[in-house]
Amino acid sequence: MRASQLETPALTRHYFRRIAWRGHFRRESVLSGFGLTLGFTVFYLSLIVLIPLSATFLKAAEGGSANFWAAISAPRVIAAYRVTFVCALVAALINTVFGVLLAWVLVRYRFPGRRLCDALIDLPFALPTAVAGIALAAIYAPKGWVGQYASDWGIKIAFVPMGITIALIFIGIPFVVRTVQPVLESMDFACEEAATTLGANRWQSFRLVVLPALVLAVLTGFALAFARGIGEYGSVIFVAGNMPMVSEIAPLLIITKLEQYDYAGATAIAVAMLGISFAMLLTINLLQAWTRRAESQR
Amino acid sequence: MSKAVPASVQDSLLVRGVLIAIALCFLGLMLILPMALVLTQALGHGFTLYLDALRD
Repeated sequence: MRASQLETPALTRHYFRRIAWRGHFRRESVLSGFGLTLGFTVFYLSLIVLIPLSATFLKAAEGGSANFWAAISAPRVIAAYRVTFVCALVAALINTVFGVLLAWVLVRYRFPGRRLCDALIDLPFALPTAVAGIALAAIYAPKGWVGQYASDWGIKIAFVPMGITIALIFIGIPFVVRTVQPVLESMDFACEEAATTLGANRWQSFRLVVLPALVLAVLTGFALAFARGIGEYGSVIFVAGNMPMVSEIAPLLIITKLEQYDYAGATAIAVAMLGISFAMLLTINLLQAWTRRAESQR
Repeated sequence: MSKAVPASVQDSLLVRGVLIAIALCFLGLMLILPMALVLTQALGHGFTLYLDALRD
């Protein structure tokens, strides 16, 4: 091909640029019915998510800004935030490690009982959270199946923050496994085989070939488990002990305020939690976007 | 159903054993134990009591 053929005439270039410019703003889609489906999506989202959320904000604003600050900055409330977010974070981190391990074992290895283990993963979704909480409390209480051995060593599991963490690990594990598992299943072995022919050992090819492809799914699973842990109420209250300042979670404080007909205070705590959760999930989303960009550049 | 893993990218027997053991321990402690407790509590006082509770 001659060099002159490669050069686009100025007019064509201008035309292309205009199309690109228009396309950028109008987002002409190949699929038809974009307007209708977008309208339905926004309507549905408003009905299910946005209206209840805005009602929460309105209710919280009713009490006035002074009451709002008083409600969300009381020492007992601050302590509850700390317990909630620290326990949810620790549980989500533990779930991330064991979730990836479980997904790996379930996808890559063959052993008797594998299908049963696979089915068991969904148990926390199916079991009512209150039942899970009572069962965990019974197991980890000082006289329970596991708790009696722990108390011999002087370790308290139930009715302290560690109990909350265990309940949140129980509740959150399916989120990580079920987001990582399909990605692992659809992964091609060719890349790993290529890494092996280039002299990589198993650990190197896992760390440098498999793990980078899993990062997005792992982050998603972590975010889901973490978000679920922040809002979890049913299973935690039975095993937490609910001691103010020590093992009281923020959702329980909301219930307490509701029982005292302090709706403005309850929603104020909810709004503060929403704000913190939103900031954290936004950070994770940005991290995901950054990972995706880094991946596409390679 | 996932594909069979080629031998060239399968982990060694030791690694497989250790990882499966960790996975089973985690499952046993976190998922099977609570379920076992629920079942023993539900059926511990005899199956007829369990049926009576359901019938109410």
